[in-house]
Amino acid sequence: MSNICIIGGGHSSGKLTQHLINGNFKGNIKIFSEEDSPPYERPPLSKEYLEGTKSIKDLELKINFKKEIQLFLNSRIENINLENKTIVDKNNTKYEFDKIVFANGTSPRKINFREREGICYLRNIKDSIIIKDKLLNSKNIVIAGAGYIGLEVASTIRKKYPSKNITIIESSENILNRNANDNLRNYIKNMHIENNVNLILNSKIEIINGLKKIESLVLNNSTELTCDLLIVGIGVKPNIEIIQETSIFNESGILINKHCETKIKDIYAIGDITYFNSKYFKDYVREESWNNAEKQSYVLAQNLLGIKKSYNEIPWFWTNQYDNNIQILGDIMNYDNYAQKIYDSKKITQVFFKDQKLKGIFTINNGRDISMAKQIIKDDKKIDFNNIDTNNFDLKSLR
Amino acid sequence: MENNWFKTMQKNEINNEDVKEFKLPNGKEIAIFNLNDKFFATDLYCSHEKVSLCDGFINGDSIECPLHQGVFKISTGEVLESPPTEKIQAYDVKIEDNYIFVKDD
Repeated sequence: MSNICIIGGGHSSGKLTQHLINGNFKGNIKIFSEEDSPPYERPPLSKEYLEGTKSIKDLELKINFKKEIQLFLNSRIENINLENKTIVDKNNTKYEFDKIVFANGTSPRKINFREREGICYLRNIKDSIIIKDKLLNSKNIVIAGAGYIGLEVASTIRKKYPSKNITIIESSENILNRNANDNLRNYIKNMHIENNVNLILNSKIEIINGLKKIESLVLNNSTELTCDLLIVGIGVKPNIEIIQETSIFNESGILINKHCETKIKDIYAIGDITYFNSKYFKDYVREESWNNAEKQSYVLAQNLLGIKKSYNEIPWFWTNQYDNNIQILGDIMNYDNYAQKIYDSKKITQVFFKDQKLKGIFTINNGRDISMAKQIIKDDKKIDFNNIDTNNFDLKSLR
Repeated sequence: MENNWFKTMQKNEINNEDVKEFKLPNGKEIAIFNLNDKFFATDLYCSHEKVSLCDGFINGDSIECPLHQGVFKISTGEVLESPPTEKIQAYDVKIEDNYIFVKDD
């Protein structure tokens, strides 16, 4: 019998529990979640759930909780002793564990302004409910940050409310600083321009006006924007406060190996909180993706069941904006050459080569090519770029 | 011909290692696969989200969903890789006079 405590009740926590149950795990599992909902998948929070086409039930991961599988909601773990293998919650209740899994994710980065009504962040179901509610009576919506979350929220609001004013403010010179390139940025930027979303780059919020409720914003170029709802999506930070006093503390996240093990026996981590050496980016990263949560939870479950598995996933992200499905696999930022196939104006594939090998791909409405490219990238074989038709590229030719 | 066998399309309408969608007269939407001149039929949509598997990637005897990369075994409909947890229906198929017939009860 083994006693496993999981800190965090999000996607990776729920999937780990599912995989352990499916693998006939003989022991007890306790999940400690600060939220008031059972484990669920987060991607719809900025899309279908915000739009109203999916309910909370659609997001939840199906887990049969019983005596051996317990879920503690609204439960914050405040003290961890890795040596004695005990944790203490906010009510001062102590729990013992044989193994502990950190699946406690990340939190949104905050802007440096006083909180007031109309300033929102998006990380969990509660946040999405608040935004959904505030959208009803908001006319001028500003989104701070042109990352995937900000752009998805803009797209969802536009789909639902064709006539509301939507502005995105981004402090850097382009959208999508993380794992994108200018080709992809241009496609996505055009989607927003075509849908009448106002995109302001190279700009920062200097002043927020409004005593109790946000009324307007002043940017660093003195432009004043009327605003009754500000949605902030400027990245996340790992929830490391909980491990601050422990020997696994690391500012960038919880350092793990490919088996999701920390440097201390019986201490593991999965999902957004993990910081690891990526075989494909050749650097330490926090992947912070649905796929990362999904696959690391599987790897760890198998390892806890005694079947040795490794996490060697090619980083893969997707985003849905304006009825377009955009997928990115591998590294599309560092490349020597690229080729493309434009099936039609809405179905596009671009592939990226570095050191004569396929390293990354993005597709617009063409997920089929992602599956094929995944195999080619894994095969890691040399490709003669001179033989490639760069404007009518056929991925099959590389198989 | 028994009533629950439906005539769909000719064999040569689907290339090898390809898939085409078809709507049965009872309204059910299915995907018909040609794997080396052997024909199979499954539900059209992934059980995880309503996405057409005809846009997916055929790899041997499996089909990978284009949205979240869930994988199903084409001959049985069973899930080989998550996120889907529920199998899709696989239908009996037979060939008569170069036409593909699919059985649905």
